[in-house]
Formats: sequence, C-alpha cells, structure tokens
Amino acid sequence: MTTKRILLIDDEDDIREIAQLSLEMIGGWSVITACCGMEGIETAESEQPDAIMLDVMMPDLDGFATFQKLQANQQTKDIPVILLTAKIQDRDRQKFDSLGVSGVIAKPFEPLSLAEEVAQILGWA
Amino acid sequence: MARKKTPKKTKLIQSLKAANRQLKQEIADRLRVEEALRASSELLQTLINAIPDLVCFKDSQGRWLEANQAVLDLLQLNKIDYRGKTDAEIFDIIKHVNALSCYQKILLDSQCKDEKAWQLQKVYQEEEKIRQNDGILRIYDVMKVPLFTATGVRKGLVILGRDITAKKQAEADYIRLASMVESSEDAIIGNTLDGIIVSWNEGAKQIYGYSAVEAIGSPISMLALPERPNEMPRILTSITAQGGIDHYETIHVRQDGANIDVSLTISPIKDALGQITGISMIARDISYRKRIECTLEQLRHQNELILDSAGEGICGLNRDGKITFINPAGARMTGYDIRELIMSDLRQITKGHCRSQTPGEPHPDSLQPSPIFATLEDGKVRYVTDGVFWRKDGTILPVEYVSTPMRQEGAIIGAVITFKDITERQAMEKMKDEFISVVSHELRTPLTSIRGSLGLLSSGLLASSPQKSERMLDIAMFNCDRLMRLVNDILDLERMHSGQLPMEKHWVNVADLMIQAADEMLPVAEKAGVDLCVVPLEFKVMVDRDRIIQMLTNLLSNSIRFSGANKRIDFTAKPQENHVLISVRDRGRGIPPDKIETIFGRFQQVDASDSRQNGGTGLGLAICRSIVQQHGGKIWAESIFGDGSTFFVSLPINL
Repeated sequence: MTTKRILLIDDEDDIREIAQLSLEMIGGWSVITACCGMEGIETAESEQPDAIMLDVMMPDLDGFATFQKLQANQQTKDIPVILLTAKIQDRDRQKFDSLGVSGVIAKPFEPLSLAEEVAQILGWA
Repeated sequence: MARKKTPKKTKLIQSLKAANRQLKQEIADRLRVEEALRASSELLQTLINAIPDLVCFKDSQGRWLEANQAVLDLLQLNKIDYRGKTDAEIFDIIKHVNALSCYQKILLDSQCKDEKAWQLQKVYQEEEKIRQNDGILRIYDVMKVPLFTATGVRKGLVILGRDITAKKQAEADYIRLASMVESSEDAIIGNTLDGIIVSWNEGAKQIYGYSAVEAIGSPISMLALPERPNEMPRILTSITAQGGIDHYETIHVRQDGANIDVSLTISPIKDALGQITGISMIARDISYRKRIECTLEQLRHQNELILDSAGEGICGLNRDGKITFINPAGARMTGYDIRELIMSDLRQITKGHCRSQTPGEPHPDSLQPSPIFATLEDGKVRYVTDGVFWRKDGTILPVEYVSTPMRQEGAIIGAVITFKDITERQAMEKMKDEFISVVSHELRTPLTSIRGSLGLLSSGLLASSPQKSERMLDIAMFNCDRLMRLVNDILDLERMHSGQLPMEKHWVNVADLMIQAADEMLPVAEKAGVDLCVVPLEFKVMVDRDRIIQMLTNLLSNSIRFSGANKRIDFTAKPQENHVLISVRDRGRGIPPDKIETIFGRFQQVDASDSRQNGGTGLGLAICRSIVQQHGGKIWAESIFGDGSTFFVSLPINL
C-alpha cells in the first residue's frame, strides 16, 4: 500500500514543523509543506497529494481564497481539504460549514491525536 | 142748585193745591236726589270694581254691605248673595263646595282680625297669604279701617287689600341677588357712564383692597395701570357704543400697589326704556390661573426643549398607528422632515422598501409585523434590541427601541416609541467581535506551537532524536516568550484605550529619552549586526517618560528587525515651532504603499510570518500610535519600498 501524502499549508514555521513531525511519526504519512497559499496551490498541482491541510489566517492569500482556487482548479478540485485553524468563533464555524471542506481541526491541536483526527475525517484506515 | 164755594173752601182748595204742588215738587226733588244717589252709587260701584285692590264694606255687626269685583273674584262669591251676611253665614253657604276650601280659612279668620281692628280703634294693617286653588300663593297687604259714630259707636268697617305678591317676589329676588353679589368672589362693580363707582361688593374689596366706603364715588380708572391711563375710558366708550365685553384680560392695580391679573366682563345697565344708565363690571382675579398658565407654558417649553434636545428619537402614535408626534432627533435619524411624518402611518418607517428590491415590493426583513403594533393591541411594553427602521432614502436604519403603551382611564390610546440609531454600536460590536476573533487567533497560534512541541516531547517519540527534542524545546520557549509579549501588548493597548493607563507627564529632556531607548536596543542591534546611530537632542518636553521610551524602543525594534545585517539606523530629533520631531530611519526593505497606513492597526504587519519569526506581536505600532496620540502628537511612516523606511513622531512641547 502506498503511503498517503499530505500537503500542509501554513505560514507559521513552528506549526508546520510540529504538525509534520506528528503526522509523519504517528500517522506514518508523508508530509510536504508550503508556507503560503500560492506556494500551496503550486505544490498541490505538482505533487497531487492525497489530502491538504490548510491554515486559514495567512497573509496575502488566506485559507478561504486558497481553497476556492484549489476548487476551481481541475487538477486540485478533488483533493480533500481539512482546515487547520485557530479561528474558532461561532460565525467562523458557520463560514467553514458553507465552504464545502472535508473537515476542520482547531488549533491548538493535540499532536499525539492529530493523525487520528485526520484519518477519521478522511476515512483513512 | 150750585154750591157756592166759601172763601174757606177756596182757601183750603188753594192750600191743598199748593201742598200738592209742593208735594209733587218734593217728590220730584226726591226722585232727582234718588236718581243722583243711584247714579252716584253706580259710579262708586264702578269705581270700586275697577280698582284691582280688594275693597269690602261691613257694618258694625260684621255683615257684608258691599264688596268689589276683585273680592268676589278672589273668594269666588260671584254667584253668592253675600249682602247682609256675616263671614260665618257666607262660610256656611260655601263650605260644602270643596273647590272653595282654600277660602274657608280666610272667612273663618276674618272675624277675628276684624275684631282686632275694632279693638285697636284705628287702622289695622297686616299681610295675609292666600293660596289660590291653582296653588299659587298670593300675598295681600290688608288694611282694616274701623268707623265709629261721633259717640264712639261702631258704625262700619272698611277693608282694603292690595296684592303685593309681585312686590314681595321682587323684594325676595332683590335680596337674593344682593346676597349673590355680596357673596361672589368676583368683584362686581357698578359705575356711572362717567366711570364713577356707585356700587362695590365684598368680592371687589377682597380683590382690590378698597372698602366700599373708599371705592364708591371714586373713578373706576383708579384700578387701571398708571401706564395705561386710557384703558378704562376706552372701555367705557366701547360699552356705550357697542355693547358688552366678555373676558377682557388685563392688569389692574390693588390698593397696596400690587399688580393683579384680572378678567373683566363689562355690560351696560339699561332702564326700562332700554337707555344705558350705567356700567356693570365683573372682575375675576385670574392671577393664580395666569401663574399656572405661565408655569405650564414654562413646563411645556421645557418639555419641548427636552424632546427637541433628546438624542434619542421619540415618536408618539395614536391607536391606529399614525404618528402624532416625532422629535427632531427621530426625524433626523429617519431622514424625514417632521411634517412629512405627522399623521402618516408608522409603517412608513417600519415597513419600507430597499432599492435593491423590486419597486413596490416590501423588503423581506420588513414582512414581519412590527412589535410596536402588538403594543398597541395588548398594551405590553416591548424592548427590541435589533430592530430595523427604514429611512426616507430607502436605506436601513438599525435601531434599538422601546414601545410603551399610552393609557387614558385604562384604555390604550396610543404608544410612545423611543429609539436610537445603533449603526455605530453594531459597527463597534462587529469590530469587537472581529478583534476578539483576531486576538483569539493570535493567542492560539503560539499556544499551538507550545502545546504541539511539548506534546511531542512528553510523548517520548523524540527520545531517540536529541536534536529534534532540543528543537521542540526551543520552539516552546520561543513561543512562550512570544505569547507573553502578546498578552502584555494586548493588555497595554486595552488599558491605554480604556484610560486605565493614565499618562504621568513631566518635563523630560528628549536626549535622555533617546539615549535610554537606544541603550535598551543596543544589544539587539549588535546581535542583528545593525549599526544604531543616535543623535540626542537637548530639548525639554512634557511627556510620560516610560511610555515614550516604550514607544521609541518599539520603533527601534521594528527598524532593527527589518534592517538586515550591516545596515544603519539613524535615530535623530529636531525642534520645530511648537513640537519636537523624532525620526527613526532604517535601510531595510521598506513598506509597500498599500500598507503604509494600515501598519499602525492592530495585528497589521507588512509580512506577518517574517515579523513573527523575529518575535513581533503585530501590536507594536498600534501601541506606538496610542501612546503618541495620548500625548497629542502624531506618528507616521514614509518609505521607499526596497530602500528603507522612516518613522516620524511629532510630540507637542507642552500640553
């Protein structure tokens, strides 16, 4: 069975590092990272990951705009997207629900159960 | 054979003839006298019957001799043969006739009263009240005149009676009227046509202070204000020419010199021929009413001022939901003129149309019935925090309002709506929500790094990788510091905005501030390889020392952060006309033009990731701006993107 590949898009270096460690060591997946929305879209096109974990609050192209561009792109529109975000107010939730993402994981996340949450959302074994 | 008349017979015959002639003469004379007497009697009878007064003659025994028509009509004796009969005998005749029962007492009492006249031997006069069959009480002034012979023997009794009912009534009316005049609280004053007072009641004394003795005979003009000498003459002239004056309000003067507000009703007094013989003036003291009116007017004016000055909209409705009142604030908020709204339906502002909708169709938000109409129905007070009104131009006016019923004698007659424009509040709440959302995000971000790194460390997964473990520790430490700075900056900013961080201003030398800030940042500059050049300015300003140093170190920190190694920062100051201008010039990458203003906002950064790597919280420049503004100064940036930036701070010399 090929190893699942996850693209992690987040502007915070430390969070990218921690999430990558967590997903690789516990989830056993391969993690590629991008530090902004534009880089994330380019990487998604070229790498065709099995899933994308996407931060919301990013400068220039935020998570919502990045998701819309991924959805509009034939090459990336079918890649499931999980939002990884510290924006957890009620009205933020309402906005997430209407987007059409696969799931939302709140920050701060528990590094030891991050992989399990992702697997649950995506239906991975 | 012819008998020869003897001289004796002749003389007898002549004597008889003379006697016969004399007899005839006497008979004729008697007849003439009788005729004269009869004529005289008829004349007397006609005369006494024509007299409206009661006339009755009785003999010494009390037998009726003659009574005039007035007596007969009064006692209804027209069909009775009364002559020669006493009162008792007449009573016997009529007593069985019930219709005449009211006169029975008269006849029964008459004898006793006749006797009084006889006893007094002079005219006996008294009033007698007689109630007629129709129930009307008539009053007679009765005189009984006893007649005696020369020897003092009773000869007859003349009874005269005059109907004084009308006079008595008039007397009673007069007494009642006089009593009314005297007891009236109003001044009732009678004047001649020349304005001389002829009557003055108790009310006039109470109002004006003059007694009747003092007032009667004085000119009515004494009551007028000295500065209105023509007022009373003009009024008197008007009365004689045009008739009465009602409710003429003016000011009169009391005896003590005090002014008094009065309402005058002035009418002409006319005689039986309609000629004006005098003037009647009724004056009512309206001082109390005038004071009340003045107070009410002041209150009304005050209420009007309050309503006009109120910042909230106040709107009154009638039972049908029509606007009966709206204050200027309410009209202004809705964009209408007050006159446009009066008597218009409330739905004009509660159920309107938005331009974006199809003309003629109501806005979807307006299809719900307004709670205000429910108040008009059930009389319950309703408080709505998120209501919507519509302005005249079709835009939405978010409002908070209270609708309160108006009741009169228990029935709902309308409602009062007090409302305020909550556009600003909603904007503030939105800003607050957004700020909370942003702050929540900003706090959670370093927490994520802390939680994540420590979680991995504690799991033991990195036990075999000391390098990674150390890296996780560094991440935890770094983000702890970052979180602490963030919390401190947020608290500082909030305290400054809420005034909980008051400035303690003293005279301070600008050079000292610059040197201290530079000293604090020197190690950071050295570590970053940045050359920090300071040119202190000897100049005194009135500032909060600690806050200005905080602001300057923030600016220096930013400059160092974005300068890069081997770059120079110039930290200078120069005096201006009434302020000092401090500048921090770096040679970093500069600020894009679209961010040159926004960088002073909260959590606004040119490059967030870069800033965070260097420990930035995104609040430094917002804090600088807050500090500078609290000193009455200005802060701004100028930059050439790619060639560095200069931050300027202008501080007033003295506040």
